[in-house]
Amino acid sequence: MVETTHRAAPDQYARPAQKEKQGRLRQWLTLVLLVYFLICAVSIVGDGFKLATGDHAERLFEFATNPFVGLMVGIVATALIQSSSTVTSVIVGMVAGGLPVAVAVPMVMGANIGTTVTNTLVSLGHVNDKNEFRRAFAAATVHDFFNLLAVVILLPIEILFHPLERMAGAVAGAFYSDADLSLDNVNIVGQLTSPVTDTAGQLVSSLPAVAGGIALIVIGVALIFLSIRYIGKLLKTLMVGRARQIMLSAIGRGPFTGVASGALVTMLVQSSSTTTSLMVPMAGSGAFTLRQIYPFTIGSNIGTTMTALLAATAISGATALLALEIALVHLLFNLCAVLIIGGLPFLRLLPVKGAQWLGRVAAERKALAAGWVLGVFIALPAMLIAVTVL
Amino acid sequence: MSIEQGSRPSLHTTSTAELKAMLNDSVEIIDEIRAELDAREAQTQELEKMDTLMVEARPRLQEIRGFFALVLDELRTRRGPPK
Repeated sequence: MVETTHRAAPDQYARPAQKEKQGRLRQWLTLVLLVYFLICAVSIVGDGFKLATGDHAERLFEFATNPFVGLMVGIVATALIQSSSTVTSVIVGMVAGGLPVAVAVPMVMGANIGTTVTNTLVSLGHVNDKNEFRRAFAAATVHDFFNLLAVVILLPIEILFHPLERMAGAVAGAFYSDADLSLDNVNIVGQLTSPVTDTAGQLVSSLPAVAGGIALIVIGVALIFLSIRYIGKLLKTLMVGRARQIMLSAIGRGPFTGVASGALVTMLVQSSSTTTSLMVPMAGSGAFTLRQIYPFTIGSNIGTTMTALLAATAISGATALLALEIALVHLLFNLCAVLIIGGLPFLRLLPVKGAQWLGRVAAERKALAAGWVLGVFIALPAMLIAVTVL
Repeated sequence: MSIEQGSRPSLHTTSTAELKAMLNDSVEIIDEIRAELDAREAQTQELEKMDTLMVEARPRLQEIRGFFALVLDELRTRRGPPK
């Protein structure tokens, strides 16, 4: 009897462990499948854009040649979808379909601003406690201030001299010239994605070219949105332990480790909104100070650029270089922002001071907090367009 | 141990005022170290809740609606009671 119990006990413990292992394996396989669908979806958007616009993509997006309009498109699209990864992936697909890189650059910058709305909205949940709200709102808006400052500095420089576009072009060119040597005429990604992309193409083949193209864009965007959403959900459960370890090891290690850990955690969960929103309640409770959160927030900007780079691998053919170029613009923009704002002492603490001030006044007058949210994400882009168009 | 003793000025030859100042400084440093360790402990505990926070830290329509209701209340109060 005793022996039986002894034999049964390890078996009882082994079964849940085995089930958990199987569950994890299933989650990882689902993740691989979702990444595959994301890559296919970016390719579908590119195909749809090509089909819908023919060779007239440039003419179609003439309205966005005004960089402020492009910026606004990026801000509003990201604020509505609440995912910069989705918007930048769609932009990569559109560039592959013929959208000029120069038109797409302000859109990518706008996506960077638009993504900050999520953690700002999260901070509004702390409104019932004045001190908690002051800390939480400051922790959220430090991201707004940093990304706004980055655009204020880098957009005019980009409009005048195109340094980001040039640097990204050079890096993408170097990458593809090497790739040509090793993978001559072997389009691995194209072959892997063709079952899905060809099926999507066949589905709309009976429609006229423009309608078919629009249908492909809608299918592609929906697929990107859903796959990124579920990738994020899965990664949250799969990577939470590792993300916690990274953050624990960053405590007390200074700003550089903070930036690196922010980037790493964001790469793991594939969402800057998740990482920056996570910091809001931590700052609200007072456990983390604004200065401790600041480097982590900056790092999340760098980590989120990986999705667009992954999406760029989906594109093959003549426009592959341009798709990689716009994905690299996103990365280089965020790296330059960290180097310029973080490197110049008089700029370094501006976002922190701005956020602290805004946190204080918003805690006193909630209408000002509402004014900030509505002003930055709706009124400011509208005003910029009005000023430049009229 | 011997190295530490060698680098430290001899306590026997230090004046009482200096010794008191050194003691005060040490107390301050120890307090600062304690406060920093306490803060780090609180941060570690906060990070232990990361599983929950990762799921819960997202915008909620009800909270946003509640916030804007508070804003409207604040604006009405500032404007004063209706005549």
